[in-house]
Amino acid sequence: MTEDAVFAGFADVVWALALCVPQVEAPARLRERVRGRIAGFCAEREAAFHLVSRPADLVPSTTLTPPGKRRRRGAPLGRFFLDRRERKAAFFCWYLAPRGSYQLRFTAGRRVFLGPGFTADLTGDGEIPIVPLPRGAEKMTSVALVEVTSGKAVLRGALA
Amino acid sequence: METYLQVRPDSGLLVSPLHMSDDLTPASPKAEAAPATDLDLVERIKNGDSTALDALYERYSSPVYSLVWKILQSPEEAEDVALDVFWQVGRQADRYDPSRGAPPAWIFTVARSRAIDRLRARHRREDRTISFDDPAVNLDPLDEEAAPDMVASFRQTRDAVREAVKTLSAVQRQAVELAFFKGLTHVEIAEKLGQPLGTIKTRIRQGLIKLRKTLD
Repeated sequence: MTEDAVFAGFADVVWALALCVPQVEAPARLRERVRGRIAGFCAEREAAFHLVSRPADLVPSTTLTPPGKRRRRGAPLGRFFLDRRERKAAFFCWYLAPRGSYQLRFTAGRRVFLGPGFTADLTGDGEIPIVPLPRGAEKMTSVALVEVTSGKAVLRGALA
Repeated sequence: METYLQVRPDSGLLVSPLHMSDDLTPASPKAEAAPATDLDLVERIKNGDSTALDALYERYSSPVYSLVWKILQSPEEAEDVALDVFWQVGRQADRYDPSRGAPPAWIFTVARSRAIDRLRARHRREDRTISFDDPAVNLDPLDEEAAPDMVASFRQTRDAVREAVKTLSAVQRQAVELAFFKGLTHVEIAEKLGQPLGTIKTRIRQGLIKLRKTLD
């Protein structure tokens, strides 16, 4: 059992201990930062919803699986939505290492572009509701999800 | 069974983290007029009500900020981590599982976990001793505008916890503090204290069990 799991099993004690530390008032600007971040994320999610709910012939999706082997149940899995004009994209994934740091990597011909990154949540889910895409004349041929620390691809998929 | 939380109806401030649900009756018509419970707020957040997150923020921003500040000893990092905590609460409210504890227990567990993550990422662990009764920054939780009974309730809870911490043996307390505030792994604590790993695991677990029993 990990240290974090030990404390997770004593969440009520964590709560109690948290109250016994000397109290410091949260900075006033923190509330606005929380509101801004939530609002920004909601807006991105809404935009992603509009993107992924479009017909599959306009916005096809690609399933990303671990490279080089058949995916087992519970192994990382991802879905990448890219509109036909390659202007908008969304990415969602599951079964990653909890709190791991990842980054998208695109291939267009011989060129490789590193895309945005994210940190998986405690359950190993991750998402980039709106993916900023690399600009260039060449059509993207593949997308991969790489671990930031090792640079190793955990997911890969060929784009149609 | 639905979990009812002990929250002061007038202030929303928790009374005791470890006394939940048993002696509370279902909501009466009068109680319906009272401010929302933490659980209500989490349910509303799940449904996309941003005002509910504001209310939860109002209740727990300072205790959360204080906890992460205590762990990180840096106001800038504490602010960033507190932002992450409330963002996570807002975004992942649908994953909150009432069977694993009341909403504040979840929020503070997330806060501690995030702060420890940041501490580990920072790769520097000062040898400065951080303990439960560090008087370095000992402000009261609520400013002068807070209701006096709210402040009194908070202090009462805090004092009870501090008394409970005093019931731990010195070695238990040391191990729990190193794990809780500094995020040291069991192995690291064993190395630091020159004790067998099993002994450290036992001290931490027994310490937490003792705290739970004392506070219950």
